[in-house]
Amino acid sequence: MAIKHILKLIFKHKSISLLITLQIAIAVTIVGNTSFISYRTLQNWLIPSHMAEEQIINVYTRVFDKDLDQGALIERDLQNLRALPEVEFASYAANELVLATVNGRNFVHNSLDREKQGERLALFAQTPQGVEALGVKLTHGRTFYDTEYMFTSTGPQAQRASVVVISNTLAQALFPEQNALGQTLFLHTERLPYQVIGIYEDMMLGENAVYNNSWYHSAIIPEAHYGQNSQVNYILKVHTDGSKRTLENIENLLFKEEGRIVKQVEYAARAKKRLWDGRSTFAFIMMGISGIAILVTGVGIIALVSFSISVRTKEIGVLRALGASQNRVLRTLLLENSILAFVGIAVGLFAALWLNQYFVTNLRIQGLIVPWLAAIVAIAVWLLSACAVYIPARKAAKIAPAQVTKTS
Amino acid sequence: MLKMNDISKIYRTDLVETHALSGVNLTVEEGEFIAVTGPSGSGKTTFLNITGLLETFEEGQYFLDGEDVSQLSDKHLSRLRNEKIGFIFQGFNLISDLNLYDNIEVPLIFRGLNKQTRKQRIEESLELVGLGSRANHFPAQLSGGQQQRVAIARALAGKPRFLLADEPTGNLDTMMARQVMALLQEINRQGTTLIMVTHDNELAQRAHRNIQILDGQLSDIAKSQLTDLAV
Ligand SMILES: Nc1ncnc2c1ncn2[C@@H]1O[C@H](COP(=O)(O)OP(=O)(O)OP(=O)(O)O)[C@@H](O)[C@H]1O
Ligand SMILES: [Mg+2]
Repeated sequence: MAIKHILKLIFKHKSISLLITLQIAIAVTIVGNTSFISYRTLQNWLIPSHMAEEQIINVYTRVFDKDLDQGALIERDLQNLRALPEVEFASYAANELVLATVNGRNFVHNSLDREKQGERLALFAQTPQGVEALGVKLTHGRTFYDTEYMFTSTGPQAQRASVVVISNTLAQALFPEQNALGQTLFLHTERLPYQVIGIYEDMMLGENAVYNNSWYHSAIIPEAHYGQNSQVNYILKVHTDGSKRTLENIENLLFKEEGRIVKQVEYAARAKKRLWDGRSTFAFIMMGISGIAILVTGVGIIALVSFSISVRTKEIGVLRALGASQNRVLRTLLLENSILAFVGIAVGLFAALWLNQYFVTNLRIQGLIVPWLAAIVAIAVWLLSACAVYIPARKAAKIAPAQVTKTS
Repeated sequence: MLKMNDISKIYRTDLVETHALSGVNLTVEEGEFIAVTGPSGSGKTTFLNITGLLETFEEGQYFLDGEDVSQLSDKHLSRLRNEKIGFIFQGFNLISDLNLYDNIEVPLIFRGLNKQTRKQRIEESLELVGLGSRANHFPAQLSGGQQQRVAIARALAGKPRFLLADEPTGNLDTMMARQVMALLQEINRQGTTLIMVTHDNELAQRAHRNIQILDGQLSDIAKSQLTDLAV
């Protein structure tokens, strides 16, 4: 049978052909998108963090005694921490720890224009030694003078700093045309002005920023407020690489203070892994959905093709009688299916493109189209449909010609 | 051209074994015209199917042009069916989803003929059976007799050396039956070997040789005996 005849038969059996095509299209749409998302998500973890993951430590504590003077406590803690032989630098940290955003979402703006959407970033609000604890490598400008640090309790009289150091990528995002040094940017919901005095090499620092694809967007301000809630957190830099003892020593030290609990002391590497685990779970769920879609499609195609072949048993027997070998019958059915699969895949890819657009713009899911992955999905779905057809097609090819030609 | 030694065919179902053919011996020479008669259910179609390589058999040997067909692969058998044998089935077996032109074209494509030749052969053979103007009709739009003629046209288009016809006039009126018969005789005269199953003794008379099948047993009979068996 020539392609011409196959096409004629496809058009004769419109509804079943349409169903098979649709099934394939849906599979391509689902599998295409889930694989884009999974791939992009997993791929993010190849992005280097550029930081000393085994030397930076996040410390989370909680003050449950409401009468405790948090300001005095923090001063005491920092002094004690710095006195530990392992600790190089220690800084109080407000809402943002390394790869662990405690709360809030931070935006930065390059103008006061309320219409313009700002850039997401990891905003580190630190006390002295904050810059050193993060291990920031300055490329332009300077870091903070001691006098520039503001450390007060939250509230209307909270003092604000006036300077900021930002990462290289953020500098380019905010001031693409000019040198960012000396420029003013605006932070917090009140859009307070800060002058850029330094730019540092990119580091992957913020959890929230990473989630929003702005992994290298970060800034450090020399202002830290306490007392907003019960949380009191620190960022430390130690010179013992990944040592468990160090974590214990820190924990024991902080434990001595009454009226608060030490929630966690962890290396940045651990925070990164947690972030990674969460995201890979997401990727694996996506893969699971792909698997189910493939399974449903496979079973669906087998059922549909079995049906479409069962109504054509006689036809196939006649073809055999007229001189079609089993191989030719098999090839014809596979070719017929490939034509349907081709249309289905084309439709599916368009649908995937459209859905992808929707995901990326409306749900802020990362997963832009990966052309070679789309090609693999297309080939995989085609192979799957070919395998699904193979089973009923082989059975059909085995039909003895006399079996159907005898009955009228 | 064809030689059968002791061919037997048994159909086994859960309850019964039907000996559709038992111990068939037959030699057919190139260019012969053989009419096969016998009562319903005696094994005529089974015999024709085995001859036409549509069915396998349990015992015996079958040589077609000197080749032992029981040894051949499916591919080889399919090619022989397509190239050497033309089959006119008892129930036309046209492909209902294709029009007449396409129906006749299918075996020609298997043969590997080019488009030009195919077109010419299709038109010729449709003309021959008087359906030249109906190429674009579908089988369901034709009467039983017309469908029968399409089946004949399909068998003839391939210009087979060996034509097997199972009741080719069964669905035709006397007039048409005679015309088709004349056509088959003409084709035989041009060299095609013809084996035809028929209930019509008058048509059977026109064959070179008559064979009768009774309960799966095959035997040559004289023309004078034909009338006695009219069913
Ligand atoms: N697939 C089959 N399974 C079981 N029995 C079969 C099968 N095909 C044919 N038979 C039996 O074999 C015998 C011969 O059948 P066949 O079709 O050859 O008869 P026939 O001579 O062509 O009859 P008719 O003149 O009615 O066409 C019959 O008894 C039939 O019931
Ligand atoms: Mg019969």
